[in-house]
Amino acid sequence: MSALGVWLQGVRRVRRAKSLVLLLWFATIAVTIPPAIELHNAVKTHLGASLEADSAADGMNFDWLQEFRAQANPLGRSLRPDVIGFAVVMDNTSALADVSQRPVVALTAGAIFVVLTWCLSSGCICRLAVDRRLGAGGFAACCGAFLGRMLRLNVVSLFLYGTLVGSFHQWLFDDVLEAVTKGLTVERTAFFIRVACYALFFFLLAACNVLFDFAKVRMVVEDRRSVLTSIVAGAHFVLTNARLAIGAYAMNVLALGVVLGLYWMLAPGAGGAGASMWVGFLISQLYIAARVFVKLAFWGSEVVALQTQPTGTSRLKIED
Amino acid sequence: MPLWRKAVPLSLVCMFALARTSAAQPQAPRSPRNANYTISARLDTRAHTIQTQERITWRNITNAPTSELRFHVYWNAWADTKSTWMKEKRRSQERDRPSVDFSRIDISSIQLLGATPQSLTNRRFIAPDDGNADDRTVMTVALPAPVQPGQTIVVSVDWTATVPRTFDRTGVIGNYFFIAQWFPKLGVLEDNGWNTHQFHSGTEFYSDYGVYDVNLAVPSGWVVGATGSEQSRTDNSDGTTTHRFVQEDVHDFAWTTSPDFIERTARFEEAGLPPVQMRLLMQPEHLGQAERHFAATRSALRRYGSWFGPYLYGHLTIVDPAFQSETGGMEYPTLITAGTQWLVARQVTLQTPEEVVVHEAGHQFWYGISGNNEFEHAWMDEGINTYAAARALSIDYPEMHLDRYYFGGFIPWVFKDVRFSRETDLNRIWPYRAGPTDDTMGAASYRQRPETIGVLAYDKPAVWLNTLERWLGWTAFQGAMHAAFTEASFRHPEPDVVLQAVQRSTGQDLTRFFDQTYRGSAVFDYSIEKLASESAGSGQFASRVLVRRLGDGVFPVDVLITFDNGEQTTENWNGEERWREFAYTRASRVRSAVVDPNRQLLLDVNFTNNSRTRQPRAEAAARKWTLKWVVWLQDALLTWGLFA
Repeated sequence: MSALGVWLQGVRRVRRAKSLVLLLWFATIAVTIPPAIELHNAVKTHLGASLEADSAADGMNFDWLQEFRAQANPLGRSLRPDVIGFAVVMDNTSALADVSQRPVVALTAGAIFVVLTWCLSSGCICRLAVDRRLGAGGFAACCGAFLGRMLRLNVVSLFLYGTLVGSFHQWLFDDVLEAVTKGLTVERTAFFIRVACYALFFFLLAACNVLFDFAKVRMVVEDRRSVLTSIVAGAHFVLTNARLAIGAYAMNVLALGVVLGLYWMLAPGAGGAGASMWVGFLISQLYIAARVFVKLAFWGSEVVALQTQPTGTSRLKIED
Repeated sequence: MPLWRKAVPLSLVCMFALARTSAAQPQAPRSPRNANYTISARLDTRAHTIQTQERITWRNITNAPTSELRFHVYWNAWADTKSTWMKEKRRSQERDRPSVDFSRIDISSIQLLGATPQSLTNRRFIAPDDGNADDRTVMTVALPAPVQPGQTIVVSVDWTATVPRTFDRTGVIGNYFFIAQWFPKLGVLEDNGWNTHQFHSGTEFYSDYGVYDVNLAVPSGWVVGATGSEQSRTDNSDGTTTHRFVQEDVHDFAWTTSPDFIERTARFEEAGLPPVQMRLLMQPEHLGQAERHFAATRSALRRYGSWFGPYLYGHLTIVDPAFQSETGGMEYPTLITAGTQWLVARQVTLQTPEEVVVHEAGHQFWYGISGNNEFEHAWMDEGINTYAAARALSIDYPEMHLDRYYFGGFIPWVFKDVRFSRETDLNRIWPYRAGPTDDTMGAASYRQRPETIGVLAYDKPAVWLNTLERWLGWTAFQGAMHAAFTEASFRHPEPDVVLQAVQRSTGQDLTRFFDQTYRGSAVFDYSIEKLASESAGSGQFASRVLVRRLGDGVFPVDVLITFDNGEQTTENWNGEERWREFAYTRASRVRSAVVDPNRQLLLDVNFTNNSRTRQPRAEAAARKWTLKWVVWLQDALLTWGLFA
């Protein structure tokens, strides 16, 4: 099967597993709601009975927003213009690329979400591997069966990702890039050198991602006990089926690009507080759901890639 | 008709006539011209050194003799990390200068010229501001005999300087040289002695007006931009070309050179104002933005020229600094540095060239023509200019937006929903609000903390002046500022020039306001504390509005009361008491109340509490912004979660 075929098959499996999309989407909501309630109360309290609320509700009241942020706690200060429209993507992607400091609330919520994803990932992979309904019990059983192994595997991945976004990024951008561009007087040249650094950084991130994704998939699909052998098996599969693995991964990256492109066109602006607000929120949630879909499509296509190759022996047993 | 209304057009005509005359004939002195410099400098672009002979013709225009000369030797601030400038910089920006980027000026000889030249060897560095024995930015030179009032002396100074890597305004990066604060420059002798402050990180300018005649030898083919206009160009046998620049009635001289500059020229012409030849030295990668630079320069020349007085030099060089040079956004006589990016937003934002060009071109008026002592009264150039630039920008660029530069600061993103307002964003109100009691504007700038001098030099003065404008009315305030500018032109104005001009123009005694805002740091905060309305029977409603003064600052404010039936009432309150209650019995309930509805008092540190309504929409606003924030956080989760 070609990479395109694998990707299409993976997408089909995710389409047939809509509950997974719903589950991960709900996870993003669940993590977000508690601080959101806190923020809501802070904004409401600050505005009180002020007429400033009118323009803040009807559009953008930048003066008020600045005033609110100046008087707010760290959570309140995370309400910035960057929450408007496609700027959310620019802000978050740029923060990842530059490993820049993030608000405490984003770090905390991010950590909770990542751990939650770790816990749910084996269930998701099971569901995509069997390509049929598991039921809540089956899904939970799968998550439970692999929880320890998945956590151990992710601790290893965390170490590698941490090295990449920590010391490697610092070395690449603070030392190498700084040294290379120190005497440059042409911004365009500096920009392209930076783009090259981004390309290298994201290439390594993607390489780690491919490696650990296949390790997870092999661990779950082949019911591997050892984290180490899962990683080795994942790497072996990627190396022996590089075209397929990388091709399918690239298709998913492309799909992510398409989702981002669509959101760039449709992302709502500041808008009002009436129906347009809900329409805008709905569009944004469709975008979030699409991001979740793409995230699952990575796993889906990786499962399909594994299962369509001779090495992809499945020992997975799911009780109906 | 107020006196100033007659004075404005008359003085404009006079100054314009003067400017027209000056173009055709030798320039009649506009300034005392008591510190004149003839400099020959040779730039070694490989060794990064400048070898210079400098001749200063100086006249004592005070009423007292002096037995010494005091020089600024600015570049010694970067000779090590012990200078006052470096110490202050570390406090305000937490950054240091690497030792490889150090710089210095070595003076090999100083001579008093005359029938028998005398070597002036009795010289030493002093630190009049902070006693820092390691600071060598002020040098005193003993004279063999006192210079009497009205007497002129000629001094020659030979020196060599090492050009630093660009670090805050001056130096070299690649083959781009920007050379400012580069020559030993006399301080200002006042009736009570020399006023020669050390080089501080936040203040740097104060020197006498004079004529600068400067020869600059640089590699042939390199483009040179400098204070003044180029008089001649002579090719030398060693592969260099000497460019001669001359400028009368200025108090400083800066220059730049690079083989990469692309030169563009344009002309500013406006009825009632003298024409100005604009010369733009662009980085090749920014060439497409040339017209934006010219348009912004025109904006400043037009607005400042019509509000304060004309720009009389007839030419202005705008330098587009090289990437990473840290020389953008600076002002020197008839020469400014702008600053833009290769990927620049099409819309006008605070980071596109318009804001910086209008601001720096504006300094030609408030810094260049009005030569205040920046060491002591930085607000008189930076503050007035920030205020005026905000006004000019709001007229010529009414659609200014917020932007962010993502991905290492390279990729612009314009928030089309976020329009800047002059009153807050362009006046830079937020840093002021963060610390309204940090210090007083009237305190000597060089004594202010490095962390707060920016607020007191730029932000608070802009908000303060805009408050005065909104309170007193533009017509009266413009008249005052014009009068102040006229009085300050080609002189060293004290703050009273502005304060008195405002009082004269308006006929009001503003002593209390100035005591609170200029000499003091009163906090202004008026609020609507309560708004209640209940039935009083017979179809009438009893309504009460409680207005409070939460800060110690006192300011007369209006209170706008709006009733449910649309009727409005404006109450005038002198703002003296801690609170004032307004009561109404009418057929309609009070719907809302706003204190200072026209927002005259921009110095108010909390505007959200200035209004109150019986039909609040805080819930709707909170819901809307929380939902947007939720999406941002979800996206953040998925961005990082992609690798989970």
